[in-house]
Amino acid sequence: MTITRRLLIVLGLFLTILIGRTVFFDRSLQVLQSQILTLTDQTLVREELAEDMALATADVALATSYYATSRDPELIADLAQAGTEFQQALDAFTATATTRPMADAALTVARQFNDLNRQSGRIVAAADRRSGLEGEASAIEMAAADQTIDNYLARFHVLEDAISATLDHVITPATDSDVDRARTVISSEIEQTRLLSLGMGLAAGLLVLGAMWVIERRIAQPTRRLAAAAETLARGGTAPPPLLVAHDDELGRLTHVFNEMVHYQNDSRATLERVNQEMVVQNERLRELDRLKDHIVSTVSHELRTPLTSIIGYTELLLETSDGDLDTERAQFLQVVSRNAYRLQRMVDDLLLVAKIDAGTLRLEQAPFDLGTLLREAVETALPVAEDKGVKIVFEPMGSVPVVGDRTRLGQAIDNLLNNAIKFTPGRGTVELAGHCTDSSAKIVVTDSGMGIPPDELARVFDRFYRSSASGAVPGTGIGLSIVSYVAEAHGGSVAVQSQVGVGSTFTMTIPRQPDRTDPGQEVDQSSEPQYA
Amino acid sequence: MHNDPSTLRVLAADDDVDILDLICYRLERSGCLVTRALDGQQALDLARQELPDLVVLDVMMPKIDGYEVTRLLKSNPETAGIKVILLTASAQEPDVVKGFEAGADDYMTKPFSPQELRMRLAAISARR
Repeated sequence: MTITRRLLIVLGLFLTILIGRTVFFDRSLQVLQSQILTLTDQTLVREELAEDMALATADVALATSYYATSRDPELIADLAQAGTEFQQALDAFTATATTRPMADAALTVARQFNDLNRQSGRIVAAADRRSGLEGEASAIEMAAADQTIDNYLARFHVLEDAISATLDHVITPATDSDVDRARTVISSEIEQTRLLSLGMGLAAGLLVLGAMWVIERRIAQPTRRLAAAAETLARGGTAPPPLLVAHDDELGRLTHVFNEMVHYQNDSRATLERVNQEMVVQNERLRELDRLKDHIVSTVSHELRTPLTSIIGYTELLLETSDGDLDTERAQFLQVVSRNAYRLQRMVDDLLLVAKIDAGTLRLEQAPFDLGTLLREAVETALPVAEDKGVKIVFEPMGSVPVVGDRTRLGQAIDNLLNNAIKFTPGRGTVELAGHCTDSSAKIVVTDSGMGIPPDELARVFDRFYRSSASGAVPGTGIGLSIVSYVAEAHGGSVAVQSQVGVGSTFTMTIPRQPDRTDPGQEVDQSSEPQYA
Repeated sequence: MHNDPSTLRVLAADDDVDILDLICYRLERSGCLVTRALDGQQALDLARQELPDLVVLDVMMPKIDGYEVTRLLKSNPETAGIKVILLTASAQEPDVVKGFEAGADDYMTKPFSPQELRMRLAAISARR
């Protein structure tokens, strides 16, 4: 059963009790009202009727008395009239006489009035007889007739008094019994009403308590349990065990759905954990592979260096020792070998550097050197390549600029910038190298008149292995500029690029002339040379 | 050149014969008296035997590497006076630091130029 239905039933019962109570009270009040009305009405009516009967009796008495002396014929009519009135009052009285004493009293009065009437008839007849004797009978006879009338009258008055007594004594007590009866009815009615009212109040109270109990047990408790479980779940705690679905109502369904949700959540959590576990394993495998790759790159680079050392060493030896006995053509060929050997060496150096950066084993040297010399050497190294391609290198020597840093790595970075510029500049183009310095920093600017870099690719040219879409057929590995960026940043500096397609590019590397040692407690490695682990 | 290295007796050690030849050639052309060793053990033996003025040691050598040879030479009073130049694969800090920790007097990065070799020799001679 749903909670709504339950509450509706409770509310319905409550309303029924309320309506029942009202209806019962109404009926009860009606009874009381009618009782009281009846009581007062009957009393008044009976008193009136008793009075009517008394009056009629008095009329009969009066008319009879007068007739005995006057023999006025109108009095006979009066007698009949009074008799009728009495009979009417008596009939009405009999009709209202609902109790036995009343009924008895009515009968008594009726009999007594009958006796009175007959006595009245006897007096009328005696009076008539005496009137016939007048003038004919003797005084004795007349006196006897008068005596008879007097006797009859005396008897008549006794009867009249009896009626009065009956009316006075029988009717009044009968009215009291009516009051008694009404009182009994009223008090029993009130008692009944009180009892019922109490009972109904008690029932209503119990009903309210029951409703509260239902609300507590069926709504509040399950809601609290649900809330606690949901809270646990929300805090990411271990999923609670499924809640018991106690009833098939709204909350029961909610609990059921919640249980399903928990079940689903547990499932997905388990899946997630499994996937996570798999990913951890896979990640470890990938890391292992990455280490292996780093190791291979490192080993291969090392292995490549040994034959390269031989090639470069012997080529130089040849060029150096020939002393003019080599013809120009062979000397030129040897220069090509030498140049390419150096190029290969640079590539191997770049690869080795990348491997070291990846392995996190790269430590920068912090030694004083002259940046002006380094720039001059870089130009000297790049010159053969540029000349070979027909690119002009413009360089204004900057004199002595003492700098503290890693000469080898900075040289590598400047070499990369120059070679990059030459590579992307067509024949008869120009590459310009300039150095500027302040007290605290040095700026190396490489400007080319090359193909330029599209604006949307500018931000990515320093990404490793990124090659501009414009680079096309120009060979390259895409690591040169990433090394420039790394070396600049490792020295606490930066590298920036400006470019216009078809006009050329300008790369600006800025480095501090002294490593940042403002914090004496810190290792150079940690402050100015971020480790690229 | 202020110091004449002609009297300098040098032991050169490298497992790569071509490079060893190149080093020896350069040293001889600089006027040094050169002995060759093809691995660390041989270098150690020859150094103890001949007590040269200078040992040019490649770091990566079979049997005993350059660092170990340097350490063994410097820890023995008889050979401690021999100058040692290490040939490292790169001028990276770990390699260089390791070399100096072992007791090396100087280092050179492969591939080295003839000028660099001459300068290092001059420096060693001056300190002799």
